[in-house]
Amino acid sequence: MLTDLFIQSLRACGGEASSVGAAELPRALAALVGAGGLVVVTPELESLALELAERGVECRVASRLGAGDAGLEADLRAAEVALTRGLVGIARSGTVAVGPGGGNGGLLAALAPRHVVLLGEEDIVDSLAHAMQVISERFHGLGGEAVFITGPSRTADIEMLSVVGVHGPLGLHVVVVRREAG
Amino acid sequence: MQRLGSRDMGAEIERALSNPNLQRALDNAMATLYGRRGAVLGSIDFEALRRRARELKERALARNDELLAQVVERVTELGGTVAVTANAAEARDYIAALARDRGVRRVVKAKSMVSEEIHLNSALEERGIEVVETDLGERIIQLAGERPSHLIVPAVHKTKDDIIDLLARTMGLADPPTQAEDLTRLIRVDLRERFLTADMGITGANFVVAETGTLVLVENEGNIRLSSQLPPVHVALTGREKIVETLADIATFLELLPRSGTGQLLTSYVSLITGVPSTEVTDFGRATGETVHEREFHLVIVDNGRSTAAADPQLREALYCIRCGACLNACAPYTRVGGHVYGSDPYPGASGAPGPTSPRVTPKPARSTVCVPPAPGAPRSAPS
Repeated sequence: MLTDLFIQSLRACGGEASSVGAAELPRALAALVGAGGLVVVTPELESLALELAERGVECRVASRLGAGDAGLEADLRAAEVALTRGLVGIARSGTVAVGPGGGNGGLLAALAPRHVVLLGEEDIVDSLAHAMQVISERFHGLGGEAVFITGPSRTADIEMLSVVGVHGPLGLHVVVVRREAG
Repeated sequence: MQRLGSRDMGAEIERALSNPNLQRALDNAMATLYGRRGAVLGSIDFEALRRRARELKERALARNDELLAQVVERVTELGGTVAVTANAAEARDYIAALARDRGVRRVVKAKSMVSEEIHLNSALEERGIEVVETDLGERIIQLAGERPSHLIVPAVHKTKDDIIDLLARTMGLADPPTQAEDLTRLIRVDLRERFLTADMGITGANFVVAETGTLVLVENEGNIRLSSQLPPVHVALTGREKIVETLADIATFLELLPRSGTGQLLTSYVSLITGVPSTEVTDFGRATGETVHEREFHLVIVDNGRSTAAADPQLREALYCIRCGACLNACAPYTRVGGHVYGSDPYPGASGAPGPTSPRVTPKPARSTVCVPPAPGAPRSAPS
């Protein structure tokens, strides 16, 4: 099972992972990010943001604008959790790719202390080469940025001691969403 | 060359060997890096991957002129600007002029060995611009007023105690933290505000893909993501040998580079930056059909002796290097004395052999690393 291997690989590199049915997603997410401060959501997840807000989660949809936009800067400073969608996952390394496709998902996800990524179970592939092919098709003729993310931000620059949380998120949680009939 | 000739290498080696802090730092780091690499190579056919990567680099270098033209075309189409520069001065002047034109006061900078090669920081600082290194190891050596001593672990020559003393002194801390976690957090908080207020971000690039115009940037900390995406102007600086043919080739290089460099299957982040992201302009929710670029992007490609090196069958080898740094961790001289003794400005070891002016061959890396035969034209005796 690629999902099991994905979850196992991600945990091995310091990330968190869980698997949830599509129907259960709003409830499960509310429990995951509910009490953790402001959740900023990329525009493509706007309807999910509404469901989270209904469940009492402090939630905001990120501005679509780029650098210099005051709304964006406020979001970037205040976000405790960035919630974005993943494009493709790699089972062997526990990697998830986010972007491209406009919006500021990548930037938000780089700044917030916690990053939660939603990844469709069907989007998990076996190898880096396969994932690169998916990204390549997405890129076709488009500008933008994609990031392969494998665990939380880390460093070993001080005496090779492994420290989690340098400039990027201290915590990474990938929620694998199972598509269910009905 | 005068610079090299004016230094007494023998005395520097002696000093390095009798510096207990340096010896302790190197013993620990070299063994750790070497061990971590060994632990992950077993799961793949490393030699086959390496041969494949070399073929890809050979093919790309043989078509370098053509691929460079393709990069210029693709990046320009996607809203970026490409500057192809012949030498260090041209690259420095381009970036300095851009910073002046945009009224830049603060630059956040990710780790870039090419920026060390062309002495970019001092050029910007001379013009009154604050340059903030954001990679933890680079920030440490910037605060110490030093240069990197390893390709991927720039502050590998320092112990934790050295770093505690340094941060206490330079950040004015009476009671500095003593744990690596807390020291790292201190830098995170200090640099976060600088990221948010920077006018320009400068990064390097591990690979540039001709087919798509994509830059590939490999890191663990997240400072490259912030330096490239947050400021209104992003400048990426890289050597022309970093150009490869296709995005598919990148999968091969990414199987090798993190495993060999840090013993990871993949680093925490690999950014693929293709031109400038653009956003559709909406007017009260209605699409207008117009798009705006979210930021300004300049790709500065330097030659600085690379074309000359490419024409030389021995020096060409250095241009195939993907800069994982693993050769240093296994090199008998390097692991005893560290990178500063090489004076290779900035690449220690064999990849530092080709110099910027033809056919400048820096004698120290070429002779002091046992794995490299002296290049043609290199002095046969030690400069003293």
